[in-house]
Amino acid sequence: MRTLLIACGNPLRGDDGAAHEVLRLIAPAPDRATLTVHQLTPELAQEMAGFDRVLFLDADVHCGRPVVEPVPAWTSRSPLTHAANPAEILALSSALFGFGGEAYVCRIPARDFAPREALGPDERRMIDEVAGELERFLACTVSSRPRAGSSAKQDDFPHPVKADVGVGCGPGGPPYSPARATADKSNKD
Amino acid sequence: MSTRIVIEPVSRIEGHAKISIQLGDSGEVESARFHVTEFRGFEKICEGRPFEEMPGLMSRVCGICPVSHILASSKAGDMLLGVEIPAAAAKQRRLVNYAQLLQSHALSFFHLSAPDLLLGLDSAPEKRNIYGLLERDPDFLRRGIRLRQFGQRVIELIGGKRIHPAWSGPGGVHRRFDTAQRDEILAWIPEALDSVTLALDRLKGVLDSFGEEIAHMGNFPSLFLATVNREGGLEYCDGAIRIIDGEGKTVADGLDPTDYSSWLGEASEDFSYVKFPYYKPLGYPGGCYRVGPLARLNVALFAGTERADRELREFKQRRSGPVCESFHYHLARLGEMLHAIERIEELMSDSELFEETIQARASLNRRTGVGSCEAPRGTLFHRYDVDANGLMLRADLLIATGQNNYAMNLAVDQTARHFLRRITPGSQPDEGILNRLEAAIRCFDPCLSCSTHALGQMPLVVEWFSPRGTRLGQIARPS
Repeated sequence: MRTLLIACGNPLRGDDGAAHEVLRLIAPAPDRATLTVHQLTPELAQEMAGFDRVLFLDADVHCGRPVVEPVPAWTSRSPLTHAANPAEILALSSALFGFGGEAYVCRIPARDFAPREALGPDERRMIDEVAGELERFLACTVSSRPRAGSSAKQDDFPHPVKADVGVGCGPGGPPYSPARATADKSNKD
Repeated sequence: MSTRIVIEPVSRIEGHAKISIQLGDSGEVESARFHVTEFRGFEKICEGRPFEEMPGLMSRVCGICPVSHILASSKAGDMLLGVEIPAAAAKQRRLVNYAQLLQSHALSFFHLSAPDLLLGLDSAPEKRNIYGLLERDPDFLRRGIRLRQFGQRVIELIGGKRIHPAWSGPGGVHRRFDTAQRDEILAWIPEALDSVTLALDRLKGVLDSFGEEIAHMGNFPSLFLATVNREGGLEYCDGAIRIIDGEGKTVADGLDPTDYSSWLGEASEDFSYVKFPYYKPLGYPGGCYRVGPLARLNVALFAGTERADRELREFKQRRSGPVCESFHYHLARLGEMLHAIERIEELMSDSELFEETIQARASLNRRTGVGSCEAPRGTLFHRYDVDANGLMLRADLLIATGQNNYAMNLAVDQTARHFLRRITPGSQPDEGILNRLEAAIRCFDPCLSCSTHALGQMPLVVEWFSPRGTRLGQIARPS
């Protein structure tokens, strides 16, 4: 499953660079491509074409714990600036460039976007954990999840796709298990 | 009772600004102003740093036009070293500058202004964006996205990354250009030319429906300033400055851009963090001028490439003198895109671009260095003063958008006076009218910062204040 990982954020704005840091820890693989960007812009719609799965990584001050979830369905709005959100990019990519794969967003908890080059200490500690869970997510090569951008509710998913650190894995990949995630973390520590 | 209308933030521009309109007792527009409300302080940050670091640091001024800052900064560094850079380096810089012009103009036209131009200034705000274009004309939007991608790809191929590429510095560039890069770039050219030609046709096809806006959204005589080559043609990297007036008469010619501080001054106003540059011999505000695509096409005698020259001739035929309507920045922008693509194609067959020597090596030889180039939005100047160890004592940046500051204020004022006319107490301005105020600013495609975080979710709020600052009402446009 060809996967594109797009890390969004500004490394000069403290925790906003968390996604870039996570991406640095993800092991390269022949079926993976990565992009680091400051913000999501329309031309990413074309970059997505040709991939089976796209994962947007972004720091988020509104989430208390790391979350991976399908990109929600796009609803019309009025973008005011150059920046866009994953749903808008997904809509553009599907409509203009034929993207038909899965799309997810990984929200990484963050607190402080003040100008500085380093992450906060808590965020720094969390990076390894997030990267490890993403590796597990990326190991899922076949998915039974609904297509990204669908209107399916989270309850409809066969496996939890919005969970603390955890991600859903479809048939063919290792099922998500909070207990195993904990065990893995213990081993790593 | 007089009333003030505030539009904040101004949408679909790069950076943070607001528009305020002061209404008189009977509801007539007394004045309108464009305020830049953010403060960056890059000039201060640079003090004490080695001048060699400046291109990398200065590129962070902006996420849209970092290449311009790298070029101006590198050229200031060249001057500090006292070197003439190798031809291959000069041509790489030129190539990347055209690529940046292309991607920045594509963003401005297809993403930010085409919704106004093709869907209409009075179309529903929730549809007046690229997603509205997606429904109306997906092929047009696809072409716009790919055009910008082409420009960014050229920057990435040569600079190593599409934003903030640190491939150029004092004395030259750090990476050689190769034939694989050439072949990839050449493969894009036919589609890029087709897309810009299509956009030109589309824009020309709707101009008649914008007669009132063309006439009243920033239509005034002014000075125009731009870089030209020795023959007076379009030039974006190395040349002299020419200034013409609103009738097309040459006010100054052959000005050395490295000496800009002797003929350009900067005035301050208390309502904006951006200064108001002016041509010193004519004073402030009489010496205020416009820069950017409209100025470049007005100032240049010719383009120097076949298709762009055809467009330039047609452009100049619109008026007997300079084209003074700010609305035609859009048309000028497309003409420049055509020129940029043609120049990129020309450079691909230039053997000097592939030469091995890309760096002139020297140590510090001067204490002051000045670099300039034509950024997408106009002429950009960097001046650095250093100590004997090459540490920055002072940096002065004169940025294109700042040089259009006075003109943008005039455009907002003219637009408000014409379209708002009279607001009766208790009534609210029509949303389409407010959009015209913003559209007047978008003509200039101002780039107020490279700020990237959180702005995308900001709603547009128009608030009404009494002269004493009491809020009388509010209109909120959903985010």
